[in-house]
Amino acid sequence: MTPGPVTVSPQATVAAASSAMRRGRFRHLPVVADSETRSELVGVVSQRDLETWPEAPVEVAESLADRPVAEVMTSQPVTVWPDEPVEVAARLLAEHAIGCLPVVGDEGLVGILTESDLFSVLLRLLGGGEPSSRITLVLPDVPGALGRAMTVVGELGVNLLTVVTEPGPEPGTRGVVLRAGTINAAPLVAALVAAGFPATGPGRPDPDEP
Amino acid sequence: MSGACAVAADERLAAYDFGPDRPFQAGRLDAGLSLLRAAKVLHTGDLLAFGPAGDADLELIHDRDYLEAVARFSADPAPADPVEATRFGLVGDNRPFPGLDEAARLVAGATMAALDAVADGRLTHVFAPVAGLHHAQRRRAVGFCVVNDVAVAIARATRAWPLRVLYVDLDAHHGDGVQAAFYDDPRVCTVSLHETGRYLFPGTGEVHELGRPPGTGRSVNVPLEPGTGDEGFLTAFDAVVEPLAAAFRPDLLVTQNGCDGHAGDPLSDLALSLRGYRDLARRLHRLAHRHCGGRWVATGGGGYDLERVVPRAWALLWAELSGRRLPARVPAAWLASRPGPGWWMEPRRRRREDGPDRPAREAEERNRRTVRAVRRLALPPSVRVGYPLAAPGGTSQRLPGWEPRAGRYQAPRGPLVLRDRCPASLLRRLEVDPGIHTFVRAAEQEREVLARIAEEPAGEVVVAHTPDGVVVGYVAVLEPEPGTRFASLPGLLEVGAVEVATGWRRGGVASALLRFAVEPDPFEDRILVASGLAWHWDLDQSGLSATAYRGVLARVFEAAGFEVLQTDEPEIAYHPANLFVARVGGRVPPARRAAFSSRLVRGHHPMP
Repeated sequence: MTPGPVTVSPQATVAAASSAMRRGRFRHLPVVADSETRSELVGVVSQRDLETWPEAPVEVAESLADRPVAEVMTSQPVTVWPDEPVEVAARLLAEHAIGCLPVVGDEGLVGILTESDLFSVLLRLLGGGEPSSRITLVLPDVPGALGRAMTVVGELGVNLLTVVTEPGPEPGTRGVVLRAGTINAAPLVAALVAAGFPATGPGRPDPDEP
Repeated sequence: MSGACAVAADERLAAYDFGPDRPFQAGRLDAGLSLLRAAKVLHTGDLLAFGPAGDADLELIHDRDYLEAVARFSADPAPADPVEATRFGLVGDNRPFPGLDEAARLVAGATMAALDAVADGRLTHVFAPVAGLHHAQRRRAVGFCVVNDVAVAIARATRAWPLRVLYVDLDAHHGDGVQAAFYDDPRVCTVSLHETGRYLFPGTGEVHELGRPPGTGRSVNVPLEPGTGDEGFLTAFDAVVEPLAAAFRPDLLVTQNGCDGHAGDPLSDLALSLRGYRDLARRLHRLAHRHCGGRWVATGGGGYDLERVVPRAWALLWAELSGRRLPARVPAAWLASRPGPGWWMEPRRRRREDGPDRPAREAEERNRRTVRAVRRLALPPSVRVGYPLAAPGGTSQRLPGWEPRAGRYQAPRGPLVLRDRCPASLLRRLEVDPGIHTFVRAAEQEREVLARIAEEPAGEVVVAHTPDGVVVGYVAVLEPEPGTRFASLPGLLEVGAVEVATGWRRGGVASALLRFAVEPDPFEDRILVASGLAWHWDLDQSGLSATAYRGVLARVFEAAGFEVLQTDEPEIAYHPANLFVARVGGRVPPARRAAFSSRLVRGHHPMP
């Protein structure tokens, strides 16, 4: 999340919110009513809320710019707690088809989590950007299969940067994506194949070939 | 054509050896140098003296605590703290050995000596075979690369001399460490052709890794498919590297000639042959003389087929660089200790009758798309137009005819004649002002380039020339390159280039040319588009900021009836100063206008 995000008050004009977004190069703003003790979240505006529709008469488009944000914001937005696991936040974004989640703690608004934050998490989880070789496996979805495959990796002394598993292409299978910290991944792929784990990776782009 | 040449290597570099269980072994050096000697193309006097690199140079690229760790592990390779060793990458591929520190410093010292000698003019070309450790990062050893010798040597040379360096990386793996070292440096342009990182190490090197301000556009990546082969690799090289050199105007060429893309190499699947590597060496040699005043340092890079490939690849490269002739066959004496074929390059294979199979065709098609995308991002339009893809001709017909016209424009510097529908024959007779800087370093091409555009089926060249026949500006109108977002719209053409010679700028010539160019009636049936990418602009010369330059460009186009449009076309959206303009002719039917408008903003970018 972005801690301490830029916010607007519900009385701010649409034009002001719009220019704050352009300046900061972001697309969501929490709307916050300040009280003595805490900053109270009252809504969220997205860039789309602020856009005029192209066929609107000019007078309407112009007057919209002067309206208060409170009239176009989403009030009572979906929020998350700061200690919520990232997958919960991701599920909320996906289920509600929204682009951001204000993060609200006991003291009020503490941050904002957006799609871009989730991309960073995804990148970290999948190891993209760290020098490594990519190897994919399809394993039977039974206890011990992943462990046995990883034993092969361990025996070759290769450092794994990331291991991600997901439901496989067929029922009863699990797909596994490894990022191995070695430039010489062909021996690892060969060892996995020899041990009965069909692997795709450098030196073996197509597992169906002999 | 070659001046003095040298090899920056000697037996001391055999110490850079990760041992028999890893592919980067000392045997590489001995096999290679002994072959050069046996073939009588390397003599004692050819060896360049060098010493180990010192801290001051290494710290241009690496952090001190990392260098200290390398020294510590080199003295005692058994890590007291495996977590620290892993953090610095000194495990697995790069597991330290006694003497690693000294060996790595020697590698960097050899590359530094090579660049120094070429930069100060003592030598023309130098080959540093045990060099090009392009993966090493600021504080991490990666892929057998502990010290980034190329980055260190380039950083040192660009500090000592006012040089622009073009770095061309042909290793099968992305040149990530060198790219990272100069990602924001406008004086070092890195281009890497490599096997796609979809599976292969290190996983980076995508087309959109373009650099960071002020170096945006100076990192260029051409990720190629497994099974690309000689022809595909050379095609990609020709489409990108030569025009890039013309656009960047370097003073010195540094290459990483890793030969691990060879079909016999265990580490990659690019399927190149030694013949392909020989052809690449020839092209680099020509490029060095055409664009870099001859100054060229070639480094050996990766390559792990130590018996058949690496020694032969080194011999072919050194023979090309030094201008010495290899004997007809690999010397028998050398083969006695290293049994293998007597050829330097694989015999030519006969073309398969049934043509390429499906995976090969798919790889070809993907590479074609990649190359087009790279060209649009990395090459200014005038250069792209000047170095066209050898693609099958366009599908659309020539614009309906009008008689060639001539007009006049009084520029502050003197009168100019404006001409359209210039036939190639006329263009070949005109002179080109040297201030049309795109082709300054490739003088023989100036006229030819314009003439070639004029010969394209839908190509129009409009020129402004002085009364005595010197071209000082031109506009080229072409079909958009296939595969781009607007390419498939019928009747759409692209203003591929508007260029005015430096001495004639700020005199309204561009505006006058453009207005003149779009006057003919048939343009009323057409949509004309043009795009400007900020990192292609000649901001040094103009003294303008990117935003101000955009404003000037927009006004030039607006004066000719173009309109600035918003689009989320990814190349345009990449930089806030990028510009997209269009001129929709008065007779373009509404349905076609709507089809064009609907392509401006798509809202999402489907994966290629």
